[in-house]
Amino acid sequence: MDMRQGAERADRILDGTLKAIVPPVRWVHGTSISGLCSGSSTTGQVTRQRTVLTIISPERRGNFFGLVERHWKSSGYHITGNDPGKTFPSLYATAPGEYRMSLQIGDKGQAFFDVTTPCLDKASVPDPASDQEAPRLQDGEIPYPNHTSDFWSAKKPLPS
Amino acid sequence: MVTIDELTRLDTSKFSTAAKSWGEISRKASAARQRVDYEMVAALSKREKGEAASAALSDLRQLSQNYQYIHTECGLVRTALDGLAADLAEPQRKLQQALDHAEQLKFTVRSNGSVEFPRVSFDQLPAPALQQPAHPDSAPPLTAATDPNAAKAQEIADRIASALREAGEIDRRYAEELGKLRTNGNLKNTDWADVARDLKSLQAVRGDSAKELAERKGKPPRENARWWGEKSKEEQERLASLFPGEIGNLDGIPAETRDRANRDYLPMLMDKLREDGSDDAETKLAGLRGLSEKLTARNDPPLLLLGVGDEGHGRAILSYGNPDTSKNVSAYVPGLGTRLDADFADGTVARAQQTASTARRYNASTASVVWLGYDAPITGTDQGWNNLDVMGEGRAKKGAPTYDRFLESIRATNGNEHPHVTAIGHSYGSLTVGKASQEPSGIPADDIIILGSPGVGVDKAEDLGVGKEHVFVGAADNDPVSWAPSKRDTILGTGGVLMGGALGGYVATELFGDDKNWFGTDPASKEFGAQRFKVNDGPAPLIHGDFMPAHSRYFDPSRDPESAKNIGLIVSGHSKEITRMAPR
Repeated sequence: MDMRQGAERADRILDGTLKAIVPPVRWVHGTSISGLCSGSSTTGQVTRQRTVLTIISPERRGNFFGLVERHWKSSGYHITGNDPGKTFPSLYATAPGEYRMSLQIGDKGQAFFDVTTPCLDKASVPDPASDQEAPRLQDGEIPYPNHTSDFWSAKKPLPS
Repeated sequence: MVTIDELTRLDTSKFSTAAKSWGEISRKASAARQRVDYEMVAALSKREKGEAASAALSDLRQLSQNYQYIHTECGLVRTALDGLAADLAEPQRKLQQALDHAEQLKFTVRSNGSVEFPRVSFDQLPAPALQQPAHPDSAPPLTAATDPNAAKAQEIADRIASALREAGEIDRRYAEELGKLRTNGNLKNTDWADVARDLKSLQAVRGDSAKELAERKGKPPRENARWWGEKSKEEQERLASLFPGEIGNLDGIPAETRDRANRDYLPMLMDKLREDGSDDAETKLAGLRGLSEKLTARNDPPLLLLGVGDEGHGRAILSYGNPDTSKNVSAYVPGLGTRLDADFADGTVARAQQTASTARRYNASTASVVWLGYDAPITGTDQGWNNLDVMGEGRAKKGAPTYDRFLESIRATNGNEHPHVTAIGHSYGSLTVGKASQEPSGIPADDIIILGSPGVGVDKAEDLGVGKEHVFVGAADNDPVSWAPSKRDTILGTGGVLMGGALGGYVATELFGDDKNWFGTDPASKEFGAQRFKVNDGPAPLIHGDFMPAHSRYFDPSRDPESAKNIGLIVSGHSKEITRMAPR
């Protein structure tokens, strides 16, 4: 497997993850970072990022994390870490083949997904792709969450 | 020979107008080059490589180089014309003053520059006497030297002659320079040696600027920022196009200006190294090639080249994010084995990108710099086993004041009143940061992050001068660089001079004693008193494989997500959110 194939797999992992979020959230592709693996000149890794534009309220954040964690586990991924900090929680997992992923909450409660491939044979890497529709930003920075969802942005916690 | 008539009538604005047109062409060529690089080359590079694609890419790269050539050369013409206009203004002014003075005194100035004056109190002499401009080998003047008007007239004539001479010299110099800016019209051979040569001769015309820039290197960044800010936009552009390397590397110059100047300078530097051909030059060239590729790509966050040079092991300062507009700026000093080479361009610069990427999630107004502004100790079997330099403080001490200046320059050109600055020292770089804190004015940082450190040269966190609650330490238990010699010797059997591979020669324990790391108390220890944040233990070191895989993972969100997150939190001003681990 080379970097191109790895990147494509990373894209599919992200597709699966975002599809599992119901009701769906709006998102955009983030920067794709490719680089040589340290100490090697023939292998490299790729990181794909996706940024969520839907406002996820602190009250619904737990549900969001729970949904993602359940999906990853049921896909056969291994949860490797969980930082449940109040302000910037994060969740880490690995998929078979040493793909490493994370869900992180950043400034203004924005959710970020990352998937990084293992070290693979060098190949030119295509732009991130998805089988779902995602707005393509022409220029400029990814905005803070700007889409309101009846479900995810709601201030009331779900009845447990 | 310039005549009075020519100089008084001269309208220098025609040179300035022409300069503007040349400047427009230069700018357009630069924009075209960027389009070729960002849109065309980048798009084509991503696709499957076939013969047609390779050929197209090669043509596009030639096109890019041509545009760069046009941009630089037209910039030089513009600069020369602007310089001509500005330089002629002075003798023109002096001439006019002399003529006005003559008119005031009711003296008559002849077209050949001689000055007639009415004789004072000598009624008998029928005609006014003439006072010639003084010439070394001419006959002594006919009139009596006691006449006060004679002296005044002499002085005015001298001033006129001097102004005309000055104008003549300027005219001759610039005619020579502009004559040199020729091209044979064949853009297949856009020779950078030509450009470098043209640049040098134009710089010689502005000898005073060259001298001034050399002096600016030693002045405080804030003063340089003020000096630069007082210049007109035209003068700034003139200096940046004439002295791209000097302006690009001068602390106190705004970041975007440094970036533009260094991008102009980079191809010239690469050509210089190409001609050199030595192994050392080849190594640096490979590094610059890698940097050039990254700079050409579309970057998010934007990538700025704040410094580049070939002195020592090479110099490179890059920022992901604009450090002048960001509220948070971090500057990372790399360590052992770092030099300007392909590895630096790829791996080390990637750490700055990772830091920026993570930190910007917690605060979008963040920039992360990687600072290779010094010679880190280079290791390797060619250095020999007795290379104490590897573990000596000399390099760190030398780099310390330069690093402080760079941090000062961040503050000097940042648009926010109190930017939050984080110094990050990795490996031997942490000793450099430590030494920087011991300089007379201390280190101008708000937070300090120490990663995989062999010691920072002080024994207590508070000795770094920023308050111990602002000192953060990441040390993986499996990172041998962060171990005390005694532990390393026990586990790895490195007593005495041993160990090849990436770290080169370790020096025997006897030199440094048992309790301390190489350079002072272990920063991750309780005694040191810093804030230890959680990192992954990392894989164990392999004697015959990758000697220290745990040493370089701190920034890598995929290999050590907790460490990378903690670094990002500190850099973005959220240090109270970090996860901690017990000091050892």
